[in-house]
Amino acid sequence: MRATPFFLNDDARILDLIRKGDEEALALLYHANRAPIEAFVKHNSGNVADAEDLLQDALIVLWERVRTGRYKHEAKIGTFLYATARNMWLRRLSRLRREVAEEFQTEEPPSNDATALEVMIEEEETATVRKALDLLGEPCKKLLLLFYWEEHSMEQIALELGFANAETAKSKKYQCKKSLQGLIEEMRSE
Amino acid sequence: MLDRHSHWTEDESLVERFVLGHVPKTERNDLEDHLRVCEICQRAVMREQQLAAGIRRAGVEELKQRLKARVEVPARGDIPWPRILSLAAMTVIVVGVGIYTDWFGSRRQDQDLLSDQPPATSTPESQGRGQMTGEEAKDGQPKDVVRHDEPSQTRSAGGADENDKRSDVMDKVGRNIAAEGGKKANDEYAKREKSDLAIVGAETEKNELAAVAQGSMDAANRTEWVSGNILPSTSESKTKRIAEEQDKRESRQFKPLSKKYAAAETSTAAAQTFNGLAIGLSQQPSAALPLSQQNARRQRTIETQIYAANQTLNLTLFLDSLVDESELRNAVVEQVGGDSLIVHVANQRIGYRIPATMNVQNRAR
Repeated sequence: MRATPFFLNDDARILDLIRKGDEEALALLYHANRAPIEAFVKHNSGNVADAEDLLQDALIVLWERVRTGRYKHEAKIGTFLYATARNMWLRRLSRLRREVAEEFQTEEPPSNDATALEVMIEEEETATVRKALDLLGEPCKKLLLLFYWEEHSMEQIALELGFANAETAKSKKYQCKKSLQGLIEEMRSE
Repeated sequence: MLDRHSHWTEDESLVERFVLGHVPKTERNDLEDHLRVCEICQRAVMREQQLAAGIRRAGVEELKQRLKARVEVPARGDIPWPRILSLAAMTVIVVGVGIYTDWFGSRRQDQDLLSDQPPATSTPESQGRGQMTGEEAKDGQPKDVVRHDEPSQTRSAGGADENDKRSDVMDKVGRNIAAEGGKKANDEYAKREKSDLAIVGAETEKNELAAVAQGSMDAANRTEWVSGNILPSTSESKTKRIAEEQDKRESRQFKPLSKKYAAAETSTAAAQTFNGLAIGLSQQPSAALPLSQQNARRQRTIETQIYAANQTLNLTLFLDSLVDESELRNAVVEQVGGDSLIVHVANQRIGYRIPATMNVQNRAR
C-alpha cells in the first residue's frame, strides 16, 4: 500500500498554511494533484505543459479564495482543484473552438464579448499598474496587494504589517494609493 | 436611498468596497442605478477597477512565478544532456585515474625498498627484492628464511638462470635507461613521475618498464605488490592436518616444508606449488615497507611482494614482527581455485589472489 504524507490528507492543515500565507502548501497540493489533472488534460486534446499551467491557475484560484475568505470547504481540496481545472480547461477549449469557427465564417457574428481593441487597452492599463506597483517599493506594494488582491481588512493588514492599529494602516494605504496613482499618471503621460 | 444628485464616488472608501464587491446587494443596486446616469461616477469606478485589476494581476503573476519556481522540474526535452554527459565523463576520468594511481602505486614500492640500501649491496636484483636491516647488512645476508637474492642450490637450474638473467637485465637497463628500446617506457614513467611518483626508489619500476619495453623482460615477470588478507586463524594442528591430508593425496599443491626441507633453510621454495609453480617464501619487517605502502596498509592485511621467476613464485611477506625461521619453514601453502592461495604460517592464514598479469597459470611446464 502506498503511503502518502499525513498532512496531504489533512485539508484543514493545508488551508491553515494558506491562510498563514505559506506558499509551500501550494507546492504540496501541486504534486499531490498533478496526476489526475494531467490525465484529464491529455485525454482532452491537451499536453503536459497545458496541464501544468492549468493546475497552477487552479491553485491560484484556491489561494485567492482562501485568502479572501471566500473558500467554502465543502469538498476535498483535491476535488475542488480537479473541478476548477476541468472547468477552466473546458472553457479554454470552447473559446478555442469558437475562435477557430469564427475564422472560417464570412460574416462576423454579433458578440457581447469585448473587442480585441478593448482587450488590448485593458491589458495595457493592467500592465501600467503593474509597472507602477513595482516602482512603488516593497512596503506599499505589499500593503496594496493585501488590500486589493487578498482583500484583507484594515485590522488584518495592521496586524500583518505591524502597524499600530487599523487607522494607521488605513492612512498608510491612502498614501500608497496616491503614490501609485501619481506614478500611473506619469507613465500614461509619457 | 441614494441622493440622485450627489456623486457617491466622492466617498473613496465606498468606491473601493463597491469594486471589491464588499457592498451589500441592496445598496449595490442603488449605486448601480446611479452609475447608469452619472459619467463622472462611471469614470471614477473604472479607474478604481483598473487599479484593482492591475494589482490583482500583479499578485497572481508573481505568485504563479513563485509557484513555478517551487515545483518546476525540467521537461523531458529540457534535460541538459551535454551537461550530464560531461559530468559523467569527468566522473569516469576521475575514477579511472584513481584506479590507475592505486594500481601503479601498488607497484612502485620496489624502489622505496632500495632507498636506504648501501651501494655495495645494491645490485638491481637485491634492490628489487628486499631491503636488509642494519644487522643483516653486517653479514651481508638478509634474515629471510628463503633468500631470493642468491641462487639457491635446491632451486631448479632454470630458476637460478632466470634470476641471474633477470639480474643482468635489471643491471643493464639501470645503467642505460635512456636506451632506444626503453625510451617509450621512460616517457611513460616521466609522465607519472610528474604527478605523484617523485618518490624514493622509483628505479626498479623504471627499470622494469624499460626492460619490458625493450623486450628483454616479460611483463608477467614484473614485481607485484599484493595485500594478503589475514583469514580467521586456524590451529596448528589443523594446519598440520591439512598438510597431512594433502600429502596423502600426493597433492602437488601444498606440502609441509618441514618434512622434506627441514635441513635446508633456503630450499623451501621448491616444496610448495601453485599451479605447478614452486613457491618461495621470505619475510621482511613491515618497517622496511616504503612509506607510501605503509600508508596504504589496511587492518588485517599483510603487504607482500610477489614476483615470478621461471618456475618459482616468490612471496616476500612484510610482517610487523618477524616469525621464527622454523615457522616459515613449516609454512603450508594451499591453492584455492586457479588464482588464489592461502599461506598457513605461524598459526595464521593469509589469503592471496595472484594478479592475473603474472600469468601464473601458463607458466607451469
